[in-house]
Amino acid sequence: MKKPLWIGIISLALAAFWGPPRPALAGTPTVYVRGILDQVMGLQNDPALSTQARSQAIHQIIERNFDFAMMAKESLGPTYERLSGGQRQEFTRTFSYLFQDSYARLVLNFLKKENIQYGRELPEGEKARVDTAIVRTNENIPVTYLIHAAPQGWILYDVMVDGVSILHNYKTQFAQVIRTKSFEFLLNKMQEQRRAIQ
Amino acid sequence: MRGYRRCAWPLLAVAVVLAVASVYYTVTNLAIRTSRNDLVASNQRLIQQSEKMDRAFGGRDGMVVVVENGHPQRAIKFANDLAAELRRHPDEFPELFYHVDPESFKRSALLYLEPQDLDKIKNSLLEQQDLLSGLAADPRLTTFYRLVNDRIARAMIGELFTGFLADKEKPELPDLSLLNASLRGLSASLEGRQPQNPLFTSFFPKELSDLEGSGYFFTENDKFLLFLVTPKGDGYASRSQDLALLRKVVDQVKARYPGLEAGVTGPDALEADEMSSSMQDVTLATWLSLAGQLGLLILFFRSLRRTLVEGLVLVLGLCWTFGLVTLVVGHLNLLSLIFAPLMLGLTVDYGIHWFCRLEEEAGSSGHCSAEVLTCTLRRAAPGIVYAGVAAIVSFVPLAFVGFKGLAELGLILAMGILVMLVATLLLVPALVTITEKCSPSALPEDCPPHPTPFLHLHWRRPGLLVGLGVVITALGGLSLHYVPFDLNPLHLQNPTAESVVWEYKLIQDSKYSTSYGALATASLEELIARSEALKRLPTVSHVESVLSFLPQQVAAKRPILRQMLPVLNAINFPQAPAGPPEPQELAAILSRINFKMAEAAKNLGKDQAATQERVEETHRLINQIIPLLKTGDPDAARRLDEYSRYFFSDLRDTWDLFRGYVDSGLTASPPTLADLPASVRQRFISPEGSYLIRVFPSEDTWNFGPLKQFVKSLWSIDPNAVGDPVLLYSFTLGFRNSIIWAASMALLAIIVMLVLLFRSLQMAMLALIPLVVGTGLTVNLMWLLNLPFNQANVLFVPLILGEGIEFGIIILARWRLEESARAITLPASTAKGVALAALTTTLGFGSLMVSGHQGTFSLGLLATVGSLSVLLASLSILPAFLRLVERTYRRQPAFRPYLSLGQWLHRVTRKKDHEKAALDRDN
Repeated sequence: MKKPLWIGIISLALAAFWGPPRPALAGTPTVYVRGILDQVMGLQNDPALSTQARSQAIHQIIERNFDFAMMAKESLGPTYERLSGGQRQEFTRTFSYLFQDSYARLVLNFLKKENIQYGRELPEGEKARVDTAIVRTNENIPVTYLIHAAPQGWILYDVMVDGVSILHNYKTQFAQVIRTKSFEFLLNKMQEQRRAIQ
Repeated sequence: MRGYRRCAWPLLAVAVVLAVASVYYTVTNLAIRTSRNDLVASNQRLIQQSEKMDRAFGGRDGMVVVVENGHPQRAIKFANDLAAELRRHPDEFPELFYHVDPESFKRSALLYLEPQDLDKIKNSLLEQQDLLSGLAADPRLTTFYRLVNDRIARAMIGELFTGFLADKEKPELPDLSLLNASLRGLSASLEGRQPQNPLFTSFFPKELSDLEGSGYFFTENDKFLLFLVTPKGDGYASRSQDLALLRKVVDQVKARYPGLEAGVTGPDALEADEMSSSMQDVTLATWLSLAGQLGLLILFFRSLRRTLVEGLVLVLGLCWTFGLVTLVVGHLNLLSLIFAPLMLGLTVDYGIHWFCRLEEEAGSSGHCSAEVLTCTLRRAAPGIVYAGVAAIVSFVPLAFVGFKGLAELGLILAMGILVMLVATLLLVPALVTITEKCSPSALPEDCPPHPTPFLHLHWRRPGLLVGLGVVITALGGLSLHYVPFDLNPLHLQNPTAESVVWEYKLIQDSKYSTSYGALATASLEELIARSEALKRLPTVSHVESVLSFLPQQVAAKRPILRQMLPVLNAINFPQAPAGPPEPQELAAILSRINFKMAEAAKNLGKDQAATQERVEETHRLINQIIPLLKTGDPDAARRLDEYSRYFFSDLRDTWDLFRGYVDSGLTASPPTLADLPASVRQRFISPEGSYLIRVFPSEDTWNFGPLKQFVKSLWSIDPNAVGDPVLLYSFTLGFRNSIIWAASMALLAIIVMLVLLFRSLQMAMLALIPLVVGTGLTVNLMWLLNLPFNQANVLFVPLILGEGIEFGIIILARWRLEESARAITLPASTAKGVALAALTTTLGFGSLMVSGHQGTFSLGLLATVGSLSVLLASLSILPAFLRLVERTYRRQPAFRPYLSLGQWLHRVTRKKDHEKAALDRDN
């Protein structure tokens, strides 16, 4: 995938300014995904880190590597279009927070000293899928990472765990709540959950 | 002296004849009553109601054979074989109830479920619709596991990311019972074994499987199969014979089923076991008590002859007592059975005090003469008679309590002590005259006492001992708060008795109890209303009546069945799978399930133990299966194919069966009372047309707290409710109240008696010191020994009164009567008598510790501790008190007891001996 040179330069500069270099800039989708997973595994296997420090670091990795704006929009489907700017902003913020918390728990639980196998890489235009599997004795789980190109490089917008899309789960559940209750009820529930986590 | 000699032989002859006649009369007429009903007052409304219920519904199913269900089919086969064997003994076991033919109920199987259970099936069916239709579209084993894996994965992601939207606080994992059943079958098949259980029955509630299956009585958790037996025998003897025969037959049948565990329990078995165990133990305890006491007497008296005299008096007195008990009471009950060792332990004291005084009067020569014998009788008799009367007084209140079992025991003990007192005063002097050939001698006007002090003690610092006594008593009051009253009657039983072992197993492993509350209703409408009200009680686990055999709320259930029909009609499974499964593919799917199970197991809370257990089973089974699939062994592929065929055949059969149930549930007319088998009708409908409700408790009602709540809640629905828990509650309450009342009355009566006897409140209080301090020390020791009060050992409360008072009276009577005794505080012969009396009493009670019956054992232990405590208080604290008050009494005139027994004896013996001496001289 070819990108304008200036975008790469600016991204690099921003990355150098704001934090560690993003794996997205390293190249292929697999390399990008491997970079994220290596970082996570490094944190998980660092005995010097406290549980809280590890959790915080993983939260930061998630925050940097997911396209929350797009995910929030996709998760609401047509409802998103009917929302006011303020509602969109609030929903995206809350969604982003809840997703980070859930995904961090998933990562903290699933990824330990794992043997990760990298499978196919399926580019689909501006998007790509990277198949991986966590393999243990008599246990394995396929995890597919869905990424798309953003101005700053590759960025994740969905993860499929054993064939089940997280984004699709959000879509189905949110649609059901909006259908049976309302968007306001949904947002209220999400805010309640956010407060409960905090 | 010649008077003694002339009377002695005829007296002995009369005593022996009376004893032989008593034994014969006892053997031919004394009954043993083992029912707990015989312990509570016979005129109580409760007993009448229970008897009425027994007459109406036959008092059936008193014995229960419990079969541990290792494998249902094996347990059922055992039950059938047992029934075949027991039918060879129709005289002993007229009724067996272990099976209801399910055929007549099958067509309405689904209508027997509660609406909420039916709703659960419907929801489960609709939830699994995708899985089922997916499997019907692609009927392969791998498809099944793939679909299950998808469900688990969706549930996992849903819970993690959007779980907060669900109504439930803790979303559960998908039900793993079907997955685990299939994995168990798969594992067995790959290992070359037959899958043991039908797979898809786990898809439906247990109640449905029961109707679909056997019609045998399994407990709710399937852990035990119950086989109910009604023995013909009534009364202890025939019932214990029936129990022994039942156990013999069970053992014979068990021998054909190696490894199978089964045992007999139930109310009749518990009662018979308790009785047999008590009878054997008490017989042994009685002989041990006799032998031990005689051994002690030989040691203390240093005379076999005197010991044998005392032994003979005890045996003769015991025979008379049995005769009198047979004549007056006519039977022994569960409580009064233990009267013999208790009575012997108490009454052997009278002979002991007499012989100890004889030793003192005879002096160092030890020679028996008319003078010695006369002085002994004059000096020892008052104390002995007062002690005997005090013991009788301590038991008389017991004879007036409303609790029949205790009242009979009180009466028997009071009569027995009186008989033994008479036997001692009449027979001991007579037998001594015969056996020791007492020489004639001049009879003195007075009997000058010449006591020696006990252990040459001078009691120089009595204040210290008095202080110690006060501390012990105060600590006893404190300890009393830490000694509980254990009202659980199962704790009294021999824990190794078979009926007790199996009753505990049932309670602990299945929450089932063989005892239940019983209510009768006059009409079917009342039956329905009461059953509903009972089911709503938190104290009730479930109720049984004819309604349990008839479907209820049919109109409400049919719409639920109708909602299932579209799914059932839309899905059809083929008889065979579409093709053989690929082992590697299956292993890959299972490893994905395994990963999620491993993660799920880590995140389950402590309150999700059941789910944890299922998850762990899934994990374990998959870890067994995957290596077998990965071997590449053609046998594994063949076995996998066989299992796949079995799986789809079972799925199709179950699906068709279930569809059939739904169809017939919607169309067939449900069973009515007329369709019920006779065995059910006899148990739940009386010949007069009333209906029985059996109410089972939700908690262990052998413990008093849950028992009280259960009975109170039953009575809130029907004040006439009866049954074993109700009887047990009334029994326990009546027993405890009677004991408390009797003990209080006995204490009061004894204080009044002592005040009358000594005509001084202070003296009466002094006489109570061994009792008060001894009781304080006993309670302290109970706390240290972790020995609670219970329904058996609390009997010692009136007993300790009698013993403590006896020692107080014996010591105090002599101290007040004889100035020489006051001078040395405690004469050696009195102390020896008290010590020997306490030790023989300890042995008499302590012999009960040989009993495996926990109640009897604890009585023996408490009695031993109590006796020794009272002894210690009598020989240390009381003399110390006496030493302190000695100066006050030294200046007072000589004490003359109100009853003046000593004076009367003095006159009688002096006059008679003078007359006889004159006659002798004339001759």
